[in-house]
Amino acid sequence: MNTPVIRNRFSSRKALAAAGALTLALAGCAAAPVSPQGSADVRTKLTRLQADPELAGRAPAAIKEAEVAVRTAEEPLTSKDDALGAHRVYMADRKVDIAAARASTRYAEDQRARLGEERSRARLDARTQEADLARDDAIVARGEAAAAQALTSYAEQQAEEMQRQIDALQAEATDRGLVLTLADVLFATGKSDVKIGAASNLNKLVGFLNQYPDRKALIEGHTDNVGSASSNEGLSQRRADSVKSYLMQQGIGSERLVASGKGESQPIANNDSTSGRQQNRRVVVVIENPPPSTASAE
Amino acid sequence: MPENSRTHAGLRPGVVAGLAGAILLAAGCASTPVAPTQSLDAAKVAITNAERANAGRYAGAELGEARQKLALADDAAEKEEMLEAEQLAEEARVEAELATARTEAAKAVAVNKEMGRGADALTEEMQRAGEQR
Repeated sequence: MNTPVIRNRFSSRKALAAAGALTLALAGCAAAPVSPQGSADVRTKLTRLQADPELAGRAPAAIKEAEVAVRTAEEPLTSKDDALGAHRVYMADRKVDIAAARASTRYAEDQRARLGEERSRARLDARTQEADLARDDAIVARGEAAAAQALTSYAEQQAEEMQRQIDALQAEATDRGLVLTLADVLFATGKSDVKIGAASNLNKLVGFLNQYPDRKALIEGHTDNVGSASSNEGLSQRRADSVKSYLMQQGIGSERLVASGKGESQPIANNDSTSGRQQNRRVVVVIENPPPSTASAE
Repeated sequence: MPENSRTHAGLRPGVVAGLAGAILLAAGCASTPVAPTQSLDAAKVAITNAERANAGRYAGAELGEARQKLALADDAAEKEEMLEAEQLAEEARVEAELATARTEAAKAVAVNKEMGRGADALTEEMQRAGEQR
């Protein structure tokens, strides 16, 4: 007989009972399946983690595992599976948290590496700075040394120059200062005018006095003992004055020059001999030492 | 379909399939009889690891939660509620793993902070040295 299959299937009472049992069994697991409660929140949490620029790329494996768990948690279930749904949501939630924690750890480690670099750079900068400062100090020290040396050389030069001048003057260094003895040939006998030929000696003196302008000159006239003491005193004074005016004519300021006549009172040789008397007949110029104040190069 | 299937001791194939499906479905809603020893052991290991990492200090709440879930899992296994025991054991394990992960994160931040203090001290030192010059 050609009866439709469907009608035959459901026309059987046993079949109907079976179908009923099936429906009941199905009914026991409730109505339409829905995503478990809390799964949407977990999804949101995961999305936020995946969107975090600092963390997203720093725990890829953990995030992938969390993604799988969240998808599982989102699977629609009937209310019969509430416990399973809750369990899946719990697992997914914790896996998202684990992923976030692992990413934070990695982030901190990356920052540490950067901090470490900064510290090394800072240390390097510090050492470089120290080195620079040390080098600067060295440069300054060298500069000071060079300057000191230059000063020394200058002072030495000055001293040498003065010595040359003194030598040229044929002056003698004494306590009073430089003593320049102008011999008798400066003057004609009994005369006080400076002889023309004597100019060169005096010119050296002028040169010296010009070079060391802070020095005063004491010009002292001396004679031998021939003649009276008073006339000799007068003669010696006139000779000293003569030298002074010569120097003044050469530009030496009068305030620097003091002329005095000592007469025969300070002989340097025995007046009994001709040569002795000649020696006594002299003009002595004492170039006073500079005042002992400033520590100048001179 | 032959008429004589009605008198058959068994049921028609379609019905059998439907019933089998129903049984299977029912079976899926029932608990399994096997104790979840693997899950329980995994949970114990995870908790021990967390303790070793000093999670008690940095993630105490999570560690406590993990221990509690493990205890509940053991209880459920004794009551032969095996599915529940399995789920609780898994939750205990993941909670312990979270405790460890958060502990590592907290330590990492602490190290950086310490280093930062060190760097600050160094910077301070450098500044002082610079001023003295």
